[in-house]
Amino acid sequence: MESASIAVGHGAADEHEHHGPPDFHRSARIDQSILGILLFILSEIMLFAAFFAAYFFLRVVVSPDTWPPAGVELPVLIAGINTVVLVSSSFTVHYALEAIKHNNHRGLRLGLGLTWLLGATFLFIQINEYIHIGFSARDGAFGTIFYSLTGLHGAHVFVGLLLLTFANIRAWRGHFGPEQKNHLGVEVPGIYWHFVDIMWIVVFVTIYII
Amino acid sequence: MGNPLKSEGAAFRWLVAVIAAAVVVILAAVLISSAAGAIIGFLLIVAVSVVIVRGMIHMLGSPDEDIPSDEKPRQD
Repeated sequence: MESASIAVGHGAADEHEHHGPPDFHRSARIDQSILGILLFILSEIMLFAAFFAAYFFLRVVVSPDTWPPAGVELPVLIAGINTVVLVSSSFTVHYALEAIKHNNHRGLRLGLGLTWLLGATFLFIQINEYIHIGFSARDGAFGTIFYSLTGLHGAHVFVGLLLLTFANIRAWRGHFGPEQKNHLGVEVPGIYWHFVDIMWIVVFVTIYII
Repeated sequence: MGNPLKSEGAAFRWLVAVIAAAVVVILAAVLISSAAGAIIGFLLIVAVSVVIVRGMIHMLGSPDEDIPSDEKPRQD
């Protein structure tokens, strides 16, 4: 019984050849790590939803005629370029995972390294935008919600960069392999990174375009 | 499309779909009005939410399915 529990604890395809159903508190349908990131991202979606609700409340109910306020001009072009930078990083992390699935360690390291650099570039450009944008979070409701939404997303990019840092270090140490249980350390940050990118697309369209 | 949180590949496919949807919303906002873009975006988010929730329910399944029939607790 103990050996069966250990086998389940390391995944369904463990080398211990565990057969039969998993323990009653485990699912045969979904890996624990994937379930964990699923629940985490669901909670994140609710967090972002609260901020978007605040944004649209301020825009539609509080300031329906003056949005953004007079004198405020958002750098749409720079934000658009930043969007391209961040979206590109999703393609590179996808490339990294496809590479390790084909046992291509060099491709994994290249993909993860590029992803980290693109994510850091995004953050750098966003901080530079904050410096030159001409208003602060204290300058009215628009300033507050602008910095809240983009700052919340920026914090998520920062966390994603931390995860990618660990993934990069592990990749250079050769921790990952082509079997699924051997590259969850790339797959789970990859899912998170795609979520961060999707949220940015929604933030960009909402704040800069609509 | 299925559940985007099932795997990295599934999430990536959803990202590509979101990019396409964002292009539609941007075009609507630029060519028609901001309100039109917002309404189309809202409808797309609702439609996507339905697909994702259904995919997650299917993926997670019922706890009963993970317990073999001879080990199910008896309900007196």
